[in-house]
Amino acid sequence: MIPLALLGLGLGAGFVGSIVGIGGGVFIVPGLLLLFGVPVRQAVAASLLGVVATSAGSAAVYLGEGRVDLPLALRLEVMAVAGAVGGGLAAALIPPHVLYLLFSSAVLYAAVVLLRGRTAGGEVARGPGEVRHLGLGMGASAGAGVASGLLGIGGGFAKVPIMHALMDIPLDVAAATSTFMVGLTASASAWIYWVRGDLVLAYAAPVALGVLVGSSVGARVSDRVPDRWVRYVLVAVLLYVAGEMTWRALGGAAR
Amino acid sequence: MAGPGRGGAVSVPAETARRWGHRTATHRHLATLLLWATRIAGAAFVVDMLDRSLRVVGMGGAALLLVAPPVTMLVAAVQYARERDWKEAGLALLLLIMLLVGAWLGGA
Repeated sequence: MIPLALLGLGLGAGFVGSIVGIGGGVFIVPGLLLLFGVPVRQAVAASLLGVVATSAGSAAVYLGEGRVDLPLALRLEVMAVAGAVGGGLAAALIPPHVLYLLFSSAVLYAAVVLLRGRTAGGEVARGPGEVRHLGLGMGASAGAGVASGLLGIGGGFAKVPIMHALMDIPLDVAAATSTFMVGLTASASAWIYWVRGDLVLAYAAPVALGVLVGSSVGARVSDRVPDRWVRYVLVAVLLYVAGEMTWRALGGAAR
Repeated sequence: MAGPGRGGAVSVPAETARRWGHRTATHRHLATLLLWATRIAGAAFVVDMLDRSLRVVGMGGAALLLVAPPVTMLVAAVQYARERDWKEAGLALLLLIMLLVGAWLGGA
C-alpha cells in the first residue's frame, strides 16, 4: 500500500515538475516528511533521485523536440554551479536569517513579475539569437547558485523566472531548459547522499518510478497546457518557498 | 502566427518553441541517452518494488539514473568538439569537471 502511495506522490511531483520546469523536490520532500514520516536526510536523498528522474524523463522529450536551449543551459549552469560552490564556502560568514530574508524577498519579487506576465524587454524572444540580457541572466544564475549553496536548496524554481522574466525567453522554452539543467546539479548532490548511505530504495525507488512516468507524461502534454496555468502553478510554488524562507528567518528553523 | 503580448500575457505558440533549439545532432544524442537511461532505470525500479531480494537491481537503476546527467555533458562536449565548436565543447567539459569536483568535495 505504502509503495503505491509513494508511487502516487512521485507521479504528481514528476507531472507538475516537468511542465513548470522545476525538479519537484519542493513537493517530494514535504510529502515524504509529513505524509510518510521519512527521516529528513533520507527524504532529501529520495527527493534528489526524484529530481534527477524528473529531469531525465522530461528532458528526453524536450531535447527530442528541440525545446531545450543547450548553449544557454551550459552558460547558466556553469554560473549556477560556480555560485553554489562560492555560496557553500561563504555560508559560515553570513547570518542565516539575513540570507533567508534576502532570498525570500527575491523569490517574492520573481513571483510578482511572473504574475504580472511581464518580461524585461516587454516581449519574448523568437529564437536563440534573440536572447536578451545574457550577462544579467548569468549574474542572476550565479546569485541563485550562491543562494543554493548558502541555504542548501535546489534552485530549479529560480531558473525559470530568471530566463523568462529577465532574459525574455518564452515560458515553455524556459521550463524545458530549466528541467534539463536541474538534473545536472541534483545528480552531483545525490551522489553525496548515496556515499553517506542516505539513499534508501524502499522510499526512493517507488518515488523515482512514479516521477519517471509522471514527468514523461507531463512533458508530452505540456504543449497543450496554457502558459497562464504554468505561470500560476509556478507563482504558487514561489509563494510557498518565500513563505517557508520567511518563517525560517523569523525563527521557525530553530524548532 | 500569434505574437507576444497576446491576451495581456506573454505567450507564443508551440511551433515557435519547437523552432527554438533547432534540434541539432547534440539534442538528438542527449535525448536518446536520457530516454534509454530512464527506460532501464524504470524497469530496474519495477523489479526492485516487486522483489525486495533483488535490491541490487534497484541500486543499479538508481546509479544509472544519477550517472546519466554528467554523461550528457561528456557526450555534449564530444559532439561539440566533433563540430569544431570549441567554445561550447569547453563549456560542457568545464561544467562536467565542476559537477564531479563538487560531488567529490561534498562526499569527502
